[in-house]
Amino acid sequence: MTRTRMPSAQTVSVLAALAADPLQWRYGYELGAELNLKSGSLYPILIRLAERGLLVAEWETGPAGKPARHIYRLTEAGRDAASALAIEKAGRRAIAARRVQLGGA
Amino acid sequence: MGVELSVAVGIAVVVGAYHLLRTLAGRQQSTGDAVSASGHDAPAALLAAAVRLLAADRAEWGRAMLRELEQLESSRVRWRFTLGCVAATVRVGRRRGDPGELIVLATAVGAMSSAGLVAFAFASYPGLRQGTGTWLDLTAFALVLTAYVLTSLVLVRANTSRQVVTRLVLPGGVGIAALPTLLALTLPTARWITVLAMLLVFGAASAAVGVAGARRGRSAAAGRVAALLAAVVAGFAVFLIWVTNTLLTAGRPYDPGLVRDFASSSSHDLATYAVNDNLGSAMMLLLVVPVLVSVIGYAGAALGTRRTSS
Repeated sequence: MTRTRMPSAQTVSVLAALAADPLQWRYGYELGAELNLKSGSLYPILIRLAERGLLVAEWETGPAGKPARHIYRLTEAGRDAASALAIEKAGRRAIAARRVQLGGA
Repeated sequence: MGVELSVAVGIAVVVGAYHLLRTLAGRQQSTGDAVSASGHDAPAALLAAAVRLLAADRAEWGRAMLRELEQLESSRVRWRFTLGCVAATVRVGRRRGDPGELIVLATAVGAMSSAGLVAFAFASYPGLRQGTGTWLDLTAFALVLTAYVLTSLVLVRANTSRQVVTRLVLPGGVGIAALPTLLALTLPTARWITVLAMLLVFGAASAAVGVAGARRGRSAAAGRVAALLAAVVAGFAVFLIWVTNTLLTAGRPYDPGLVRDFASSSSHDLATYAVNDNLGSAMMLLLVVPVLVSVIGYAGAALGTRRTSS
């Protein structure tokens, strides 16, 4: 039987941030600052997502004299994964809220 | 344990540092443009050095980190970003499941087990702490363990998986240590023929790793990398076998020479004296075995290339 491993909360937050505007290319530092993620956590997540085909990484062609930077956005599979995780998260919240209601009744 | 061990460690560290620098210099070319573009302050230099340790299939991510660092101006932010990236390079050096990572893990486990056994010996025989220069020896021992793990990390990550003949290294290294030990257990002890057979098997196994590495990797460099990694594994294996046996037997058998030396020493306990003597020998072997395996393995690598090209 194959076990599906749940991604970490940090991975989920990276997926959600990238899925918020899926066509927008993002820089690594900017993404880390937005999510309050240290580079030591962010880059391993980006690498894993890219290796699973959920993220595409490209070199931005900067203006003359400016060095190129790595930019990231989700692939179609990445967008699907982010949607599935968002639905799952909403479902869990609903179940938790229901339990609280039943417990309080 | 004594001053000669510290001197030997000093020589080994200098030679090891030279080889590590040569390996890293070889990687400089591939990351050079990104390194020069990222600035010349301490964070840039530190990140550039860490990035050079990344495997070829992760080198692009290292360049991405360097380019990102260049965008940051505040010294505090640069340091924070750099330290995080350095941690990331250690975590993501190679793809999960890569046999190279297994070698790094094996050497790390070997280092921790070696340190654990020595700590156990010191806890079991408090008299070991009273020797002169003990703390200097222990510092040298810790340096050797660190140097071996770093060496395996650099060798595995600074070479492409094609060059690192990783599947050969663990069985090769363990075999180099285990085959002579098996002979010692099966043949009569204290006979010159036993010693000769052990040396021959040790030499043949070391050379075989170099030859096989060169032939599988189709280059003398691949054979040399295989020999060096197998040398580290063999060093740890010999040390662990020797020290485990020492602790299980309390340093027995106590031969007449040992008993005579004990009588003229200031030590009050024969078992502690024997364990101390064996620990010193094991630490010396931890240095000597990798050096011998490397030298013989290098010769084997040269031979393997010659046989491949002929």
